[in-house]
Amino acid sequence: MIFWLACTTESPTESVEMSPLRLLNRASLDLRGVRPSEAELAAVQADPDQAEALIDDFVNDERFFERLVQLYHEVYLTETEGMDLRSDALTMDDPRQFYWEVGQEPLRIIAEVARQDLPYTEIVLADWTMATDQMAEYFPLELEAGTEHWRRARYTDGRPAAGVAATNGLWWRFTSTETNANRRRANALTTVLVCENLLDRPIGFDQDVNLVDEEALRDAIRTNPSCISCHVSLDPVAANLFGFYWSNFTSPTQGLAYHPGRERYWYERLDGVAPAWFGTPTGGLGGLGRQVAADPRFPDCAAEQAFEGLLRREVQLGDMAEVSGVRDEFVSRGLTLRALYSAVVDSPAYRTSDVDTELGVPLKFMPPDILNTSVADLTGFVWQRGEMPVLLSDRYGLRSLGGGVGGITVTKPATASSATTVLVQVALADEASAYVVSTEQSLAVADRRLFRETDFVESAESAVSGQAAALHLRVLGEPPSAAEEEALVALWQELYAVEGSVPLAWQGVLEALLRDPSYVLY
Amino acid sequence: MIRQSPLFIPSRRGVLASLAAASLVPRSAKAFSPAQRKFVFVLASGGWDPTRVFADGTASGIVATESGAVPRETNGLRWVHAETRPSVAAWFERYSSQAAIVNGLLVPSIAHEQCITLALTGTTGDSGSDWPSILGMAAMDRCAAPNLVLAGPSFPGINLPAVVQTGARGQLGDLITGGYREWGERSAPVLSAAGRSTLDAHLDARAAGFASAAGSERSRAQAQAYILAMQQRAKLSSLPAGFSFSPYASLDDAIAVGTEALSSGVSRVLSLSSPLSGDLGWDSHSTNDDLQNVLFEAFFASMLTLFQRLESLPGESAPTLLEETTVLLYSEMGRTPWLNAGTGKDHWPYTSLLLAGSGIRGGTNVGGFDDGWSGVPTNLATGEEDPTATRISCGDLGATLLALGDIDPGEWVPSSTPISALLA
Repeated sequence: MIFWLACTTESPTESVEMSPLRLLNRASLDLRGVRPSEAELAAVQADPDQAEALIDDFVNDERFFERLVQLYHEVYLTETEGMDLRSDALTMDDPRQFYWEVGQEPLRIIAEVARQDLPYTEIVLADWTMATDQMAEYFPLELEAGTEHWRRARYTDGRPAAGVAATNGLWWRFTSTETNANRRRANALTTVLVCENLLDRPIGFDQDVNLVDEEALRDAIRTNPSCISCHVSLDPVAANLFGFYWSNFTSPTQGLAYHPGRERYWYERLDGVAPAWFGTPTGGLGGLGRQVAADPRFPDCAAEQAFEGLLRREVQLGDMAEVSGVRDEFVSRGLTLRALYSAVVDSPAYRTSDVDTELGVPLKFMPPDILNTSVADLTGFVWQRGEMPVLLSDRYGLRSLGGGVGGITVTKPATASSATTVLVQVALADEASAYVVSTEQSLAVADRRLFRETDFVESAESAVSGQAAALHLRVLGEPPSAAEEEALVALWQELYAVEGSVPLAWQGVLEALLRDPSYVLY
Repeated sequence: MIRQSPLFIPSRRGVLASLAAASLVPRSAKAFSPAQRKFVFVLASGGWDPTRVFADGTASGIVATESGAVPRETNGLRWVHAETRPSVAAWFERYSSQAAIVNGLLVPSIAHEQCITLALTGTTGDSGSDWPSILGMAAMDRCAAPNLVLAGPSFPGINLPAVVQTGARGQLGDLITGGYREWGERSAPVLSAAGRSTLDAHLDARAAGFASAAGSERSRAQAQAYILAMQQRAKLSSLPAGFSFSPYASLDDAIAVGTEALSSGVSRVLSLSSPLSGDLGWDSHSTNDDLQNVLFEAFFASMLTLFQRLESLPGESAPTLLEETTVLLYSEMGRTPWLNAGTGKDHWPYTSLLLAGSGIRGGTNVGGFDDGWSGVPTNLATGEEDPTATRISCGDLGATLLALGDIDPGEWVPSSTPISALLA
């Protein structure tokens, strides 16, 4: 727990921390993608002081590492079937599913760094990557033995050690062209690693520059202030990436392996601009990774990204003191992602209760990946279409419709409900409640997840109220008030009257809870 | 003659419109106001080459022109013709009297993502909202899917509630009809319609209580967004008879779905892109002439389909949908006037666009390119080059569209001016 007094005394409005039970729910959803377990809820109900210790431990949960994959997809935009590639090099039924998996490669490196509790710098220094069996069929990889779907691997094509910057996944998503000369890729790197999106700077097209004179244009890139502001940073970074230069940028054939022989193409393609990172020569991709790791903006950016990922809004000027505190905690605790995310959860803005403050976020809209994992955890229902998770795919499912980041045309998450997010919530609630009611009717009580206080036959009010209260607690993460319990029982009775079936009445009650505003707004 | 895709099933309204078009029944005199105007946005994603259709570069001396391409004027509108693009010619022959071309629009970037954001919002910042969403938001009270995004980018910002994406495989239709239950192997029973109504009533009450219990402005705003979303979802769940969000695999299929949504009042704005996938299909860094030729021909073939459908479907406040709909054909950037070593053309910050339909002064060319193929300073009232004016900006485009939609441009693009030379 960080001591935040210095920050809070400067806030224009006094911040009040949310209740331990609410905080437990919020942190569990954000860090693990699930509601707190029954035991965790019971522990905090019995002793609210236990919440902090439980929350501190969430970053050691295996589900935290999976959650990181989704949080960093919103930054890297790589987990997508929409990569602009032809599939001529791939002999498989559906290359789009393969693209989706390949795009996870850099995200899986980040998750593995967290899992092993390594310093965050490893994401740009690692001489290993993460891969699947299918990736190893196509890429020059030595995949470690094991049964896990994602395992550590090493490329055998001579690519330098540079962590995420040396992954096929990143460069399949961000291709380039002959004349673009890796500049698009360079900007992707500066954006995700040091939060410098050079393209956000509007370009003042200077009438003095003769745009039709190629020589003059090349000269302007190095001498004209409105050109220099981007190119002086962009071109040297691009020069590091020519081992990933493809002779045909629409075909992944060229992108299966790294090309050491092309590393010096920068001399010709970038008019002699040598590889560097914001003014410091790198000598190539491996050196680039080391320079990024030494760049003070690297931990700053990591803190900003983690803050935005958990608060579900962009960092504002007024946040700088808190983000700075998160960054300091991150650095002082060895640059581990566990420390970083714990620090964000400890920040006042994250914990603000439902009062008007300048920076607090008392209610957040649930992104589809959390909807996916939390409902699966509660009900056992895993929503797939074929082999693809419905809520993590646009081509096969509902990711963008549910408010998520598709990665190509949708690059920012929704921060509030819309008609399609509600429709997605309705469909998932319908499917999941039908699945769990149908399944648990044939299970022994001890083996059930949710319906341990009904025999699916009894319809007396006394038999209904206990189960309704238990469902409320488990699904919404807090016990119902008397009025809420009464309303649930009334709903059950109305549904029973309409459907004439106890299981269907329970199915409806559970669906109502999974669609409740306090489920999706947390 | 309507080119009907396999998805197009004429509705009763469609049949009546066809009869009206054939003068078999008298057209009703309907009052029309700009607030009712509808919009179609079609993005050519990747950057088109304006010299192939919109701007004649033969006199410039620096434009790598295309053999066989000749300047042409139809109904007062100047454009570029090539025998290899019969659909382009057919479109201009038929619709140039309702169309205007803007040349020399400045999109101050040469990166696709930024240019698309600029073209649609006038800014590269994240705080903006795109023109389709602003226009859609003004129709929230009457449309179930105010800005229907069938393909392409969307930057709604605070106007997110207006945006409805569909998913190319008919995902939205499945969500509305319950078709998603067939995605897996569900055997569990389904609540009856009466049970579902009971559930919805319970949740309406819960949402209202949730909003009234909110302790802060931010919480209230979230709760209100949820309630508004529930209301929009209810509208989507009771669509006009015969209308559905069908899957679409081609631009023509998407046009069929989208125009039906406009005609039936489901949507005010339709957002489309070519290609549908959102790929940068027009990004002709190599073999520019071959690629752009094929793309323009296919694109205008689809635009013929679009305009024929707009003509044949009934409007809500005008006899035909075309009479109440403004169409914008645009691309996020132009291409260099010269060919590169690979006979391609690279990114260029000046581009062209075409507006047609309701509210547009047909046969109008606005702006232009100078000898260096930069956009010329343009008097927005006359459309003519004017050294004392500035170049046409994305903000000016937005201001024009908002003015056409009865929205005060000053609220969204205060430093820009509608291009009044375009307005009928």
